[in-house]
Amino acid sequence: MISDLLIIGSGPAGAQAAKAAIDLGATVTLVDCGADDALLRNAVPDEPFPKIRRTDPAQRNYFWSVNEATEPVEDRRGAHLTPPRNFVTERAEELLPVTSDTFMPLQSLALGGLGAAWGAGCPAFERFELEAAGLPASEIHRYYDDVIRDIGVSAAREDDTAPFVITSDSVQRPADIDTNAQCIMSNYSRMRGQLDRLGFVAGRPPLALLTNGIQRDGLERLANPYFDMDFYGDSRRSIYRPRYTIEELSKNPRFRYINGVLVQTIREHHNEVEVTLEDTTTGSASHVSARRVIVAAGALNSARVLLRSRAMYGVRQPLLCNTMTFLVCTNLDMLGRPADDRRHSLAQLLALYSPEHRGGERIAAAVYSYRSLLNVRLAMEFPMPARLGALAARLLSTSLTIVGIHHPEKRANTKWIALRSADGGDALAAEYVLDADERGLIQKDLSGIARCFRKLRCLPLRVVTTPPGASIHYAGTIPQESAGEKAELQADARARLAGSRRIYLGDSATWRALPAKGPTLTIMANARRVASYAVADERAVSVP
Amino acid sequence: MNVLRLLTPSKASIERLAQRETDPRCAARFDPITIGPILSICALCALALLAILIAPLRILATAIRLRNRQRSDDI
Repeated sequence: MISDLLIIGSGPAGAQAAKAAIDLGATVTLVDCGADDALLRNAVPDEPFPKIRRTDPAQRNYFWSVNEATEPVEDRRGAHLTPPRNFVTERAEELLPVTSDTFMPLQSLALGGLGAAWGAGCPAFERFELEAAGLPASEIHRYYDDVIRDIGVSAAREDDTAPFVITSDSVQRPADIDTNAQCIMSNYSRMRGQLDRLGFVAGRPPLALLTNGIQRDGLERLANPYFDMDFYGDSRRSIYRPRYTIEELSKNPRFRYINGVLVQTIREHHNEVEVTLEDTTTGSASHVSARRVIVAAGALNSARVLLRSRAMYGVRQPLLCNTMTFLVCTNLDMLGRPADDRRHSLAQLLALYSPEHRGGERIAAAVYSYRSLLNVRLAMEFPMPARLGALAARLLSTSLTIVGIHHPEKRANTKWIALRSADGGDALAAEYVLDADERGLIQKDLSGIARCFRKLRCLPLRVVTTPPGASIHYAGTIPQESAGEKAELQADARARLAGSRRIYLGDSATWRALPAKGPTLTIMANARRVASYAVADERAVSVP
Repeated sequence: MNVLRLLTPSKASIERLAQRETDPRCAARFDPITIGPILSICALCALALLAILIAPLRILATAIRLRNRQRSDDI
């Protein structure tokens, strides 16, 4: 007997689509490669960072990789991955080839996809952002609630950013911020009026980080212990990883998980969909069928599979990707001052900047402090001998403020992907070029944000530009049909592949725009929406 | 080639630094230095000055190393 639904991908979208479908009573098969590294992950002690530094002789195994790249951070793909997270990109370049001089995406075949190493930011989109993306705002808001209750999101409902990033009452109390962030917020309180006039607000970010534990059948996750080890381990499962959902679902008899496979093609027949799989170890082919399929392999790879399935070689599809830049600052009020070691490693603050030149769109800036990523990673970037660089890093450590800025994105003819034949198979070709206007807007964004952070007494030291693709926010490769903009491969309003009855797109491939805020919460909410459509269509009843 | 890039540490020296930083016996030597803002600024300026003074020697050493590597590749 075949499943009601086959879901492709175990990332945030696939995991949440599967959960929603199971909750609605469907039978679900989920397929993915499922790369994992439980060995190294389990080697990370459940202890505070300073204690580990002083006591664990094996710490080098998980703190530093002997193959750690020494290319400039501007050229590096996946610069933020630590050794326990390296599995996230294992074999991705080999099995998901992308040929491009202008676009350097990070892809994953991991259990949990890119969600295995994400920053856990969970801002909601505002109504206008959802509408720009082609998503139905009222429905998505309902599914935000479902996701937040399922994965656990902590957020500050009283902060100035709250109206723009929180839509649910189901959030947990906000995570504690560290000494550096407290200092910045203290300055923010004094400068609030001036910054507001510039269109700048700041607050604690919504994070998929537990401040209260979650316990239910098949799942136990505990509150974050503030050990500052979140880049290395999954201490007490306090930060949501999609694999927790897969593990929880694996206890359900209506759920089947097939890993170690790569989807090659999807073929729709009268009453079912047949998916061809390739075993990633042996290369052997197999097939699995279901009544309907939700493709949730990420915007790039959902398009790859569907273009291949329809033999649409050389056909250009649009590509959306937020440009990301970093502003490296020193908080002058923290320079040379001690900071409490008790902290989590994720973004401490979120700033939203809405300058006039962006016509209402918001630029999102996540603010990080620096401690557990080690001085050596800073010393690599300083134009001085390593020992001097390490000394400089120690002097700057408690004041270093890394601002990760995402810029809004819109379609353009110079941003596309296409499937091309390559040796023994095919590869995704891509181009991503910003025109002069966009580059100008980004420069203005940076100038404005730097000005705001200077008012917060964070002195910018360096701007780090990253190659296109480094933001790991991708969307729009199979956009929802619209009157204005066309693509060969499109989706309908119910996220079905245009021209099909049984193939659904459960990730950000269908979006028409990509706001600067982190998209993952919206990706997960949308995946639940799509799953509800697929189940309802299979049952031929109305969506409740 | 970007001159500042030429002045960043070699891979070997980074590896040695990483080895020390991840040795529990050396942990204290990598803790944050919290000597107050004025002394920190003075120390950072001193480091920057030192880096500038030795920069020409380091550029020369890097250039020689790259030239020798190019010669051995050609051979």
